[in-house]
This record gives sequence, structure tokens and C-alpha cells, in this order.
Amino acid sequence: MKFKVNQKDLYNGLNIVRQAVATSKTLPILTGVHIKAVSNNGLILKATDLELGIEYRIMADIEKEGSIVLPASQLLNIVRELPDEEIYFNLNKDKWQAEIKCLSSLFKINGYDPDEFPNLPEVNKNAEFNFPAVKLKNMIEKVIISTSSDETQPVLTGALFVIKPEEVRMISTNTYRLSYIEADMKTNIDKNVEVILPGSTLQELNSLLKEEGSAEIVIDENYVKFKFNGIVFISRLIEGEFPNYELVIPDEFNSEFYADLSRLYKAVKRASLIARLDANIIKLKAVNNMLEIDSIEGSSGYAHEEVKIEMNGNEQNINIDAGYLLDVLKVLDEEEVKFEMIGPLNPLVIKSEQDKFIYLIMPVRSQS
Amino acid sequence: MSFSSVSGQDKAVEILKDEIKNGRISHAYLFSGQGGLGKKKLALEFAKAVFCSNKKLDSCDSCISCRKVDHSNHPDLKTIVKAEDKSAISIDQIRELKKEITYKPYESDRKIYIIEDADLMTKEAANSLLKTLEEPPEFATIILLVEDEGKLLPTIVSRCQKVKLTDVSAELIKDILLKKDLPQDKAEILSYLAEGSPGRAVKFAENESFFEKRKSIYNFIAAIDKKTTVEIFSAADQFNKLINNDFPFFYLLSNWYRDIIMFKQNYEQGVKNIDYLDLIKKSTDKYTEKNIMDKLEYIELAKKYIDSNVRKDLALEVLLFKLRQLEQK
Repeated sequence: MKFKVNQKDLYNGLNIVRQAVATSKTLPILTGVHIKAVSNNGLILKATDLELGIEYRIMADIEKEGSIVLPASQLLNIVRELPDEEIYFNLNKDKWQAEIKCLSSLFKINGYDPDEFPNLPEVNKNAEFNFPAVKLKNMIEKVIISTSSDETQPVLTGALFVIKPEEVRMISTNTYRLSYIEADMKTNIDKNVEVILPGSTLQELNSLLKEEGSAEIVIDENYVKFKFNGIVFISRLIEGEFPNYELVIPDEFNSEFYADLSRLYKAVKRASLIARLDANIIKLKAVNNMLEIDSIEGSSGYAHEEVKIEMNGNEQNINIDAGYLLDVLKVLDEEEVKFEMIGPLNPLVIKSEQDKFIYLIMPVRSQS
Repeated sequence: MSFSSVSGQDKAVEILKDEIKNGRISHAYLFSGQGGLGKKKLALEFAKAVFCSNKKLDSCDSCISCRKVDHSNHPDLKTIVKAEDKSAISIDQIRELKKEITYKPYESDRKIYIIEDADLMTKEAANSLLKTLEEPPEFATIILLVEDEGKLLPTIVSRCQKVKLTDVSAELIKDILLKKDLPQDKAEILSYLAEGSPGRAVKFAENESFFEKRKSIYNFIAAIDKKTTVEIFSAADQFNKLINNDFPFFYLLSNWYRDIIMFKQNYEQGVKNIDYLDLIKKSTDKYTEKNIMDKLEYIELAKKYIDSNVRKDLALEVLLFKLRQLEQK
């Protein structure tokens, strides 16, 4: 194997695949990046930790084909520090050692036999469709906040991905809050598909997705594959049954009110400065076109905020976790937020009409 | 390498080969036997044979799947060991296993999990494994390795198919050592000292100054009645260092007195330290049998103290003084 590649291209490519590099050393080879030089096709970079696999192709001048696995963090650190010039790679196949030259720098890195690197799994085409990247990114951002971090319930650490012939949904919940978002979409699949995407996969996907272009999505029972911007992204799915989310989302309400997003965000944020010293619980009270936000009185002090709202229906109050409210206010794109309420013991519902996004926060029962 | 590289465990190998041949690989195995018999090796060779793409009942050592196992790069083989800075296998490690085991194999038909020193699992860890051990996914096999199955919860043992590794004969150990280019005489001595464990014999053989250190211990012990208090203190210090370097001091020490008993019973062929026969012969008349039994008891006691965290130097000093005292009676 012998090739030359631009430093920027390589650094960029390594940065993309590094997200899938294994962090634990149980299988040493997985801490490496698989590099394959193909004539007329450039360099194919590949990394996997068996849960997630990423493949990305970059331009390079290939003089001799071949492949090797090199330790990812070492390689990335070296390439990062090299100047923006051509880098020359040469492989010593007997020792699986790569020689890296750039201007007056010379490195020799020991790698692994590329044959031992696991192939990325084949994904059967049970369901296959295209999806605009910007829409996908938007959906991911809105469900990622509600995924659970409790490993004892693996199902809740991910998000349910529902594909119907005319519609796509994502749902996540940690049982105290729930995100639901749907998008109209002709998917051309003949029957409904429901899979659970791991939370970590969504994080990585979110950071790699750009606002333009579209993503090709392929799903089978065990894996999901996303193809976008030259990146092939394959993730294992979480096995198990997702809770019935449709039962939880209320289909009626007694009061609704609208608030200015940025004013509300700032007010909640300030109230939470005091509230978070205890359990971060705030009390919302909607009355006479005014939303009163109080920190629940605890050992550390008290905060009171008022935000003007437009309101239909009777007076309402509810105790909720301020953090859950802030999380959703951060990802909403509209200037105005819509709330729906039934009563103090029913979930607080936040809706975004342009996105078909629904967010539930379960109330906290106050002692008083 | 293949199964043939696990010396002296023909029976265990045969059992495992039969399982592969009949397509009846069990969901859980318990490999038991003293340290150095090759439990880990056998488990790895078994995994290789199951995964190997060329041979059916054994491994070819050249196909990609065999090489992956050799370099611990096989995605469907996972080994669980206690973390270096911990004293036990934690419940988190077992939880991780339970989560991972439900996923389908990555590239082969089976997934194999090896738990080394399974007796080091905490009680909670062991209990949380029970359900998975009893009914893992149909494609998964868990292999537990343990020196003494009595140290495991009976509920664990009853869920596994037992494969017992047996002690290896002295002749075979000698052959193994000779293949490692050890001179005939040393190989012979070590093959006795290893007490059936090839791993132990090889470990002794790899310690370059093993024979020298052994000599210094035996010369001291044979003449302990004439040692001054100062000499005893400095010897204790020296032995303490040996123990810290994992040198089998107590093992050699009790073997010394054991050999004397053998000789006293006129059972010369039972003597292990055959190169010290003369010295043993000379020592024999000095002691009564009761005297030697007392000594062995003190040695065991010192070992116990050290295991329960008594300072090593103190325990050793007390032991040496006691041994001297017994001789001067």
C-alpha cells in the first residue's frame, strides 16, 4: 500500500470515523481505524465498536493498493499536528507498520492485520427510504433530550423509530417526560416498521448530519444504516418492546396558553437558579393571562417570576422539574410556545404545530 | 496449536470434541482444576475449534477466525477477568455481559463468553448471572473457569456442564520442560515440584534464579538450629522479598519437611527434592515425627496469618524462630 493524501482531507475523514472507534480495549483491533487504498477510488476509512460502524471515503492519490488498521487516537493526534500539506503513506506489510512522511516529519506506526478487522454488518433491505437530512436532524434533536440514561432499562435509553407508508415518527421517554415527533413522508414501504435506535447512535448521527442533502435509510431486524454526505453509518438496534406511548399522550385539555419562548426560557432559567439548589422543582400557575413561576420553597431560598401569556380555559397550576422544561425550550424553533393542561395531576403538554412535536412533562406531587 | 497444545487433558478435550461433533454445544461449561493445568488455553482452543472455518472438530490455526482468537480480536469471543485494581469481578461486569449476550453473533454462528477465576465474582454478581447462565440465548455459550468448584455458589455449579481438568503426570511435565530446552536434571526436579501442574513447572523454569534461591532456602533451613538471632532476622527479610516477588517460598518450605517424613518412612521414591537427598538424609535423624508435624503446622499458620493481612516480615520472623526453637528442644 502506498498513497499520498492531503492533511486536511485525512484529518476531516478521521474525525468522522473516530466516533465509532471502540473506547475499551477488549478487542484491541477495534481501537484502530481500517484504512483501505483503492485505485481510482481514494481511501476508505472504517471504524466500528460492534455497536456502531462508520465508513467514509476521502480523495487520495493511490500508487499501490492495500489496507491496514492503525491505532485511531495515535494516528489522529499525529495528523492533527502535521502541516496542511501532502502526507505520504507507505506500508511495511511484514510488520504491519505504516510509514508516514510529511515535509520533514517521519513517523512509523505499528498497526494490525487488516484481515482481522470485522466487516461492517450487511443490512437487509426490509425497509428503505430517503429522508431530508434537515428533517432527520430536527427530529433527532427533539427526541434525544428525553432518552433515559438508566442502563437497567435498555429500551428507554433509545428512541422508537416508526416508519409508516406516509409518515415517520420518533418517540423517546424516561417515564417522567416524553418526546413525540412526526413528519409526513412518502416512504414507499408496504407495512409499518418499528425499531429502537440507541441514544448514543442518535448523538453521533446528530453531530454528523448536515442541514442539507438527504439521508438514505435502510432498516432490518438488527441494524439500521444511514447513508449521507458520503458517510455510511451502521448501528445496532436495541432489542425489546417500547412502552405504548399513544396511551400516555392526552387527546383533550381544559386550558391552553401561549407564551413567548425566549422570555419564558429566561424566566424559568432564573427561577431554576434557586430551585436547583433543592430538587429543581418549580410551580407553574397560569391565571388571568399571567404565568407565575415559583421555586418550591426549600432550605435554600425562594424565586418568583412572571411571564405574560395568552390563555383560554380555567386557572391551572402544576409542579414540574425545571430542567425538563428548560431542555425542551432549548430545542424549540418557534417564537411562541403552546401549552395544554388538564389539571395538576395530569402531564403538562407542550406542542409545536409546525413540527408536529409533542412534549409531555409528568407533574411532581408536592408535599404541601 | 489446536487442542493438541493442551497437554495431558485428553479426556476433557475428548468431551469437548464430542460436543462439537454432535452439535450439542452446551449453554454453560465449568472448567475446573488447579492453576496451571491450562483451563484458559482449553477454553480458547474450544472457541477456536467452534469458530474455525476450515476444520470441523479442531482449529486450523491459519484461517482468519483462528488468528482473530489468537490476537483476542474475535468479535464473538469475550473474556471477563477481574479488573487489575479490583479484588473481585463486579456486578457491573456481569450486567454488561447480560446486556451484550442478547445481541446476535457478529460473524459466526455462536458467541462464547469466558469468565476467568469465576470464584472471584461477588455474591451479587454471581446471583445476577444465574438467570442468564441457565438460559442464555440459543447461540451463546458461557465458560466458567475455576480452580476449586467448591468456591462457587452451588446454584452456579448446578447450571453448568462440568469439565474437570486432571493433574498431569510428572513424566509429561518433564517432557514439556525438555521441549522448552531445560536440562534433563532440572526438568526432572521441577516435574516433581510442580505437583501435576505444567503451568507451575513452566513458571518455575522461567524464573532464572529459581534453583539458586531454592538452594539458599534449603541450606538455611537445614542448619537453622545453628543460626543466630541476627541471621534469622536477615533471612526473614530475604524471604519476605522472595514472597513479594511471587516466589513459592512456603511451598518449597513445606516440601522440605514433607520429604524428610517420606525418608523417615523409608519411602525414598516419594521424595521430591531429589537433588537434596544427602542433606535430607542427614536431617532425618535430628527430628521426631511429632517434631516435623509441629513445624508444618507453624508453616500453615504463618501462611494463614499472611493471607489475613498480618505483616509478612513479622509472620516470617515468628515462623523462623519457632522452627529454630523446635530444633533446640
